[in-house]
Amino acid sequence: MPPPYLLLDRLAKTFGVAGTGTGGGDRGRPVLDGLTLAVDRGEVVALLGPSGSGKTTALRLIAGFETPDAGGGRVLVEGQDVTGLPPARRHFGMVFQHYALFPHLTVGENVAFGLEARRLDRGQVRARVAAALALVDLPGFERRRVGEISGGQQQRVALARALAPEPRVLLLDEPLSNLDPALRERTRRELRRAIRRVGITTLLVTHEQEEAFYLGDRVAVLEGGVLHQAGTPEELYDRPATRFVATFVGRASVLPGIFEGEGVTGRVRVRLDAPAAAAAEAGPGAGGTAGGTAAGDVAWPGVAAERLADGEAVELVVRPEALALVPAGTAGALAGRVAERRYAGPVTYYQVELTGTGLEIEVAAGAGAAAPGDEVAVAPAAAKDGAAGAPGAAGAGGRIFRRAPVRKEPA
Amino acid sequence: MTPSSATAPPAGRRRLPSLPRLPLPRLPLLGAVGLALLLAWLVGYPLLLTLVESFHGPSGWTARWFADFFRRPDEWLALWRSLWISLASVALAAAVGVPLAFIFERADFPGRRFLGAVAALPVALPPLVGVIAFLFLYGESGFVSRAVQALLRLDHAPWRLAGPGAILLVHTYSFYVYFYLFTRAGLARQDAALLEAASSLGAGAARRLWRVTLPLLRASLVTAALLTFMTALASFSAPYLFGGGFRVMPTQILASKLNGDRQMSQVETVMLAAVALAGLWASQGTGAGGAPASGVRGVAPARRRVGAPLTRAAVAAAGYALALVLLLPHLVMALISLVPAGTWIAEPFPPVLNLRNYAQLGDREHLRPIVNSLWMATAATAAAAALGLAAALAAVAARRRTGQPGGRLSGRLGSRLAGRLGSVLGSQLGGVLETLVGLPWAIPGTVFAIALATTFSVDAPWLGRFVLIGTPVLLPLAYLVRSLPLTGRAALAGLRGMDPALAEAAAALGAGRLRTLRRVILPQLRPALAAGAGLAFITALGDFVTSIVLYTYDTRPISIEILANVQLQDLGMGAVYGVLLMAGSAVAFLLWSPAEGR
Repeated sequence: MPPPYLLLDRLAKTFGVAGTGTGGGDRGRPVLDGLTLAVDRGEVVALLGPSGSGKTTALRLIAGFETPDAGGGRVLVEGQDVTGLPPARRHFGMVFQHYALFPHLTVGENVAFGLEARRLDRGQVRARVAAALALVDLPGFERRRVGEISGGQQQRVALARALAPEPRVLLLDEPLSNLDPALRERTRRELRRAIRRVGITTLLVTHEQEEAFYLGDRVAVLEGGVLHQAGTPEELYDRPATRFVATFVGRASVLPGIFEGEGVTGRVRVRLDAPAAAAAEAGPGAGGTAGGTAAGDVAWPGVAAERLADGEAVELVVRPEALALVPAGTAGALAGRVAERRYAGPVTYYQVELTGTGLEIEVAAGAGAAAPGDEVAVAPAAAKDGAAGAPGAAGAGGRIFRRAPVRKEPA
Repeated sequence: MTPSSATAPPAGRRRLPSLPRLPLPRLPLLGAVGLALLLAWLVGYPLLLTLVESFHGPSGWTARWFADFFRRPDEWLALWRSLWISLASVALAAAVGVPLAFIFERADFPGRRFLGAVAALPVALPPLVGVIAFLFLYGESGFVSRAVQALLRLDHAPWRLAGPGAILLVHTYSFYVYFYLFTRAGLARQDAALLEAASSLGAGAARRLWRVTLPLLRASLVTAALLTFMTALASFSAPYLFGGGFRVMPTQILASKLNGDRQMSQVETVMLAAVALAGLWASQGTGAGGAPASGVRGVAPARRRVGAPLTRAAVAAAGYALALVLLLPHLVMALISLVPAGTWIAEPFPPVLNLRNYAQLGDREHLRPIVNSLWMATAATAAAAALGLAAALAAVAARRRTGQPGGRLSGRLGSRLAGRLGSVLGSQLGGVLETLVGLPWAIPGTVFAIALATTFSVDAPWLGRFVLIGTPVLLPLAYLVRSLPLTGRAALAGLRGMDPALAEAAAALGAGRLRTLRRVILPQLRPALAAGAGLAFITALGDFVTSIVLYTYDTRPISIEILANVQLQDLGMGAVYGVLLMAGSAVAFLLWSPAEGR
């Protein structure tokens, strides 16, 4: 099997430790903890994560602006270890969050900057600059001042500048975060077109799922410096590997429960914690008073993300579209009351407060399915017509994860 | 201290950001015109009169004095020396100040903060005090010269602190701070991402420096160079004390005046002013005062920690040695102030140290220069602050008239002609006010001194001329004129940096124009104005160049008293005044610094 084009091999970075470069963060705080990721030639991988997840640090380590901790991993391109090389000798192109266009140079001079070291003659430089600008649909912009062009155009100039020297890898640091929503949508399409046209191996950092899904062939989800999962957008959405991925990627509700059953697939039974308690407090048949089944008795379909034992504390993560509003009193459904309705065009989201639990669950349904204050019941979407969806697919009832032990907060 | 706009020279108008449209109280046009006339009388009129009188002899108009000037080689020589000394001062100050700025802004080592502040010390040392301190240190009988002489067992002092070398030494010490402060401020403003972008595009350290860092610093460097050039061109104390036969234009002007050659001193004054204005003109379009527009600014590059223990120790040791060199003039001044007159003859170190010199300050005659300097500097600063603020506000208010043909004047007169006149006048008036306020910055102090002496030595009230020479009014008036750019430009810079949304928010909350001015605009302007006033006070307190032309025995300020004591060989008493001047400057510096930071 050939080695991957770009390999991040157990990259680790701790800020605030002497001799580890810059960093002004917390003393001794690990921001990246053994990141390993293989990227194929021509592949576009998006590093997705919330603020502080370590995605920008990862990108800066790849670019060479930060150095890994001692023994903290390697960056390899086509089998060559570039970890010790300065940024100028890695031949990587980078588009910065705020573009970092040189304000004292024209657009053309900015794009030509990376070509100057190549000892090309003037005609060649001019031709390469023109080609790079044409690639990003800015032909003839060579003589414009950087301050004279719009934010979207600046973004494209930054891309042209990074691509002009024909780098081995393209790195994009939150490339669209500086644009307003309408411009971002358009620029995103143009960015994707330009990257595909060149066919360059690309790593991009973003905190926006939509951006990552649109631009990335694969998406790597990071949190707290740890890689949770890398996969196609479909894999991440339908088969999240961790509870974090399940809740960070897409919308989801989390219900605590106890796993009852064996195996990792199929219709498994989850006894939901809080509803069970509520039912106990209210006495036998309490669930029925709200027009549904006592929650503690609900057997919920789902797929266990890991091997679980009978009686283990778990969390059920369910997506709004995997749920349906059914008439109050429907057997096998959770009883509740519609607390809030949010119309979002093609779909309407209903926030349903489960009876006597304090828990809320989000359900996607038609615009006229219910109104705030209505007594309803919630069931797995496929259960509407009496058949649960295939486990593991989007239509399945939910994804089941082992519940993390509650960490005691220091007094 | 950071270089504020108060100290920055006037930049090319096109590069300055436009004044914001603030809802200021409507200024009656006549009031603004009156203010412009007052400033013109104070600033422009004396210069114009000097120019006119340089062409005017006892028998009428003549170019004879100019012909004399161009015929006499000593005049040409003085002009040439002024020019090359100024240019060499720029080069030397840059050679010291720029590397220091890079070290303190881009490297991290023990004591960096403290040493970085010490490196800015010369800015608080009044020019004459610096020169005298150098004399005490490196003069023929100075500490360093005596130490070297004793060490090498020489019969005479190892060097003479005289001539162009001595002038350049003092200029380098006094002026590197401009490059140091402006470069540091420029480096702190730079975006680290730009350097990283250059790196990712294959640029090594040298190329990053030449192609990114230095071009981005151009505005700071040109501003510092211009400031240094102008200050060196106007420099008087170093050439006066160390020049000897080596005359530059300011000392040549004084010599002509003392020789009774009034006409020639006026021609020399005109020529010096012309060179200064030519320097200012040449700097236009080079980026002084402006920075290239950048879309978004990120954070400055992180300081590189000097890693190897030995290198760290070496850098720290070099830093403290530098601090000692920079502090020496201050320390020596304090030490000499403790030496009673006639007690230190040939010993390498003063044998007697006590407070007798300070005790003499109880004597009324010894106290008089201090009182003079304090009241004159205070009065001049207060007037300059008031006038500068009024001119800045009037410039904003007058510019608001542009494109407002329905202004008060036109409404009252009800004619389109009057409306257009008001609009044109308003737009022109703003520019005139700004120019008048900034003009004294570009004109050497000697020039203004001669111009004021020319204007106010004739009694012709209908021509705006009064006999003020020999009165206690003239020196504060001269200080006021020289302080105007500091206070006026500080107020203008404050107004330029003001967010119009705050004043608009006040208006939306029901505040009238006057209340908006009092509650929103003036409180925001206070830090900038305090900075300008602080600098103006320091400049007036330590002024030597105008004082030596305009003082009388009764109005003599501290600087003149220092010179008199040094000439009388009473070094101790001269140093006492030097210490007091440094203390006064430091107090003003400290009072103004927190205001700037608020």
